Amino acid sequence: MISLQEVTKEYAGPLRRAASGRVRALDEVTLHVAPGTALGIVGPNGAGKSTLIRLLLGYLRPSRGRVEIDGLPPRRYVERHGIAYVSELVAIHPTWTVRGALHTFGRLGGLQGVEARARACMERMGIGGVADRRVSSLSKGNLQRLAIAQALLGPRRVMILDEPTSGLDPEWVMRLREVVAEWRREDPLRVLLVASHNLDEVERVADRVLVLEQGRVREVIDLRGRSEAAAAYRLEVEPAEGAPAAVRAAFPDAVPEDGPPFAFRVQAPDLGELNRRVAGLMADGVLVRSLAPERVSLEERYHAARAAGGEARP
Amino acid sequence: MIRLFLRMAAPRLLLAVLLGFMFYLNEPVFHEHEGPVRTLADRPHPIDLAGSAANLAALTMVILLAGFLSTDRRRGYYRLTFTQPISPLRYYGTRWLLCLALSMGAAAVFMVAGQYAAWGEYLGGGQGLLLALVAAVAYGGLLAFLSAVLPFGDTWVALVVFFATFFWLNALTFGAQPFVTPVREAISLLLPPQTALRDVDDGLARGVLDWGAGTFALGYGMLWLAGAGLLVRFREWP
Repeated sequence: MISLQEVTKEYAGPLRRAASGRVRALDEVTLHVAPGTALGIVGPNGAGKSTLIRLLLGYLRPSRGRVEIDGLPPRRYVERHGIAYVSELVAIHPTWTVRGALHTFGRLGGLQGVEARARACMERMGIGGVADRRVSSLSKGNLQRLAIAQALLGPRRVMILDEPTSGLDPEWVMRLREVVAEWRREDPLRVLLVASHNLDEVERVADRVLVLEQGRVREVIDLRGRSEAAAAYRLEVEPAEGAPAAVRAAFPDAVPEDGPPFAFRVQAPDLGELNRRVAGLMADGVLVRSLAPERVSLEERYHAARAAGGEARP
Repeated sequence: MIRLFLRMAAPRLLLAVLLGFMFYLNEPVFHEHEGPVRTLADRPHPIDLAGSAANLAALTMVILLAGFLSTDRRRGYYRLTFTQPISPLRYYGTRWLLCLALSMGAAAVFMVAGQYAAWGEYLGGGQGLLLALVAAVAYGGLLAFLSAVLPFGDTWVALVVFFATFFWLNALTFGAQPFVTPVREAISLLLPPQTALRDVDDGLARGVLDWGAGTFALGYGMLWLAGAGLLVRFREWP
């Protein structure tokens, strides 16, 4: 669906070009996003996230390499099919009303039944009550919800959200998650790209996460397999005198964890072995309080990817 | 889309109407009946209104097109607009054509309504709208280019150019010879084709159409317009 082949983007005005002072925002980025994927884009400031998004919208052209969406150059794709987009900085004519803005975007998008669509989107995003207010008088949160409503107007196959939770209160952050999940369910082939500094939010909506740093792909983290059998587990047992020794007997590499006493990080090669060892532990009279796969959060993986440094991995 | 653009242009149209009224008050041809009793031969000639109609069309074009591209780029309005399935070239091209139609409408209303208001009848002079069309294209093309190139201030630059052209031509008419000849000619070529417009006006007064001057003035506007189109098509967005 979306393909970037060794894409490099350099910024340089005429003076900088003369002085060879180019700024390389993206450096040989190669990426393939299959239909149906939700891709998170994370990275520190200046990593190239915004540049990547602007390339995908066709607002920028790559200095080298090729960007394609559905086999078309991005601008041609957008002009033909449109992209549902929520920009980091929402800029809408301040004199337009909320309803007028949605009608305008709908008509520009060549949609049928614009009024009904606009009404539905306003209701969905909870801005029906401010439908006749001017954009200039909207709060940051309502403006963000208006931007999301316009992205939901048309039946687009690609959605790009740039810091979508910016300005939203916790309730609307949660509702946005539902809206996005619903949008994906309507057509399983739809592609969602979410750029955000909020790693927890990205982890909740994305299948894969692209870690960018200094314009290079540091890592692509696959979150889809996170619920599969984990190699490490957190085991907590009822405090008892012989419990730690019994745990170490069952799990020779058990490591006591910080925090509550009688909690250990244990490892097992597979689920069968894990169950056998836990059964043995229980047979020894140890009461198991909890056993849970060790969950490595996106935040930990993100920091690990950044700390790894060295050559970026496509 | 036309309705949408009309709504966007509505506040500026009010300004254009006000401008038209000022042109009406300032147009001597409309107020000749206020002088001493005249013979039939002294009746005002409506083709003499063509110059004012052309200036009105050109200035209306400047008013309607002010910042039409530069504001979108500077304030980022384009970001959500052009994620809709529409080409920027078509979007701005349609807006430009609509502004041209509105400018011509303003010139036509000026000529027709002005004659009814001043003389109580319509005496003709419709061919004067050709001059208005050429002037609107010349200034509209220039403003489109300025709006595509400059991040802000395109309107002010266009207005300065508009008035500087009159100053420049008057200076040359009165024998001034600023700069060396090639520079002088280059400046005359770059400034709006007021001499060509005057030739078209003179031709219309004689009942003929000066194709050469008309084509030159139209070409001037179309060239700038093509430049603006190329920038819209190929320049990256900020």
